[in-house]
Amino acid sequence: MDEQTKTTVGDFVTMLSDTAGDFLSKEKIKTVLGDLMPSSGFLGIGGGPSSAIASTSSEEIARRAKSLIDLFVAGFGFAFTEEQLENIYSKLEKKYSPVIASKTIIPLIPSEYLEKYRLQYLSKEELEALVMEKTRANKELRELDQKKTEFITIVAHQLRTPLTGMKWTLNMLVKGDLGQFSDEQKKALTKCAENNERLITLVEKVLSASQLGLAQYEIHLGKADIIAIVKDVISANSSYARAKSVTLDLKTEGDIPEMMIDRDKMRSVFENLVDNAIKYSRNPGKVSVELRRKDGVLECKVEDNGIGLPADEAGQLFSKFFRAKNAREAEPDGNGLGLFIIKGIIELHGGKIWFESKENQGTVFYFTIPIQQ
Amino acid sequence: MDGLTGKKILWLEDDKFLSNLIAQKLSKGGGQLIYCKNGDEAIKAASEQKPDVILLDILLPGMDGIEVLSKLKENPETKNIPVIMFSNVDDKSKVDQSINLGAKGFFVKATMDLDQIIQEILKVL
Repeated sequence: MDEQTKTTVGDFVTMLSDTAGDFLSKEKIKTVLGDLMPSSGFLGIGGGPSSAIASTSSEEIARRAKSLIDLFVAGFGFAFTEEQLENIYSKLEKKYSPVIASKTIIPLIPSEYLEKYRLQYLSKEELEALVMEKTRANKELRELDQKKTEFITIVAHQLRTPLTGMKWTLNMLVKGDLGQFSDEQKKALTKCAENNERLITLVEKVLSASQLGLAQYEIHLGKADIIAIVKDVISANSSYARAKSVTLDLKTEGDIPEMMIDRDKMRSVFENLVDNAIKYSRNPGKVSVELRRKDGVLECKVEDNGIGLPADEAGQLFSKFFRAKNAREAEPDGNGLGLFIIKGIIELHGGKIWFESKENQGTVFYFTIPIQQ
Repeated sequence: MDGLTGKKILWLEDDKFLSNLIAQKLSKGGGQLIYCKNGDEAIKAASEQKPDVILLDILLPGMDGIEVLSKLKENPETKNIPVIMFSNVDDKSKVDQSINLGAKGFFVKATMDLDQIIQEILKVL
């Protein structure tokens, strides 16, 4: 190993272990790195690279670096690990040069990381082979995804028929169409009906979520009065809000015309957002919905003063099946599909959705959609 | 449900559980039910008994509900009878096809209760 390589590799191992040290215990790092562990300086900081670097083969250094990276990824996930590695790599690129960093450091990092840095140094043949490999893998994934969607669609449709029968039977029982029951029996039947309804909703959502992004999930645009839709949603939720001591307000600003939207899907967007806002509110709660016309865009805002979202989970809120820790505690029954579907619906309308949230203070969802008349 | 009294309602549904329930509900409302479990039966019964309204399921063994709808609309004897589609399959293509062929409505059974179904029937009677 020449002097230059020794210094660069030494820096890499030191930076990797420093980064790991912010999250993992020193003992754990030492177990993995062994004698490659950087020496400690005054009060344990500012030490230099281990002298063992020079006498260790590149393969062995790569093996130990991989073990440390594996340990890191197990605790913090791929995306976060990639971010840390990118940070280290770009510092080394700046300190030495992109060529040196690439030649010396890239072989020490497992191949699934830093793909964009690897690509620029590949030969034409390697690049072609990589493109072919990715194209093939991509095609296989799409086929698999398609099969998975078809499977979910079939299962969901098959589930709908017996659930419909149960729904109708339970409704007839609860309404007394098949004879009278005692209050206690009626209560039990109502609970059954509610849970059956939950299952039906889950099946509907699984169907929507699996079809989102595929041709099967389309929006049917028609002229509709969005204010009337929101008023309707608010009125449908008023007794639920009262029961949870939550006030529900609607504010509108500017002349909001009838616009081209998918009435049913847009209604489900407001239903979901308002339902969530009430569900996760704290007593006494306040939920307000605002609609505003700004130039050619409709801006919507749904604000609550509820439990909010822990900052470290913010990036996942719109992911399929994601539920925040505090939401799971407050309401164990959710399915984590609502916001994923809402985002899809807004995007199909050419709009955008985002949010601001503080744990224990509340959440504000914003979305915009272009006004087409 | 008075509006159903004496009205002939043809219901095409291959699932026995659902059929029995709708029969129970509709006969309570005074409706006269013509129950069919496949497309051929439905087309024959529609032209012979001239129901006031026809409810069609879509996924059926043999001829599907869309084909039945199309045949009903081709036949001068049945083309003016209002048809409502009640299915648990709600792909956009099925909805579009049904409406283009002249169905008065398209509803997902799992999202409706029997009273809502009766409301929809009353709307087209």
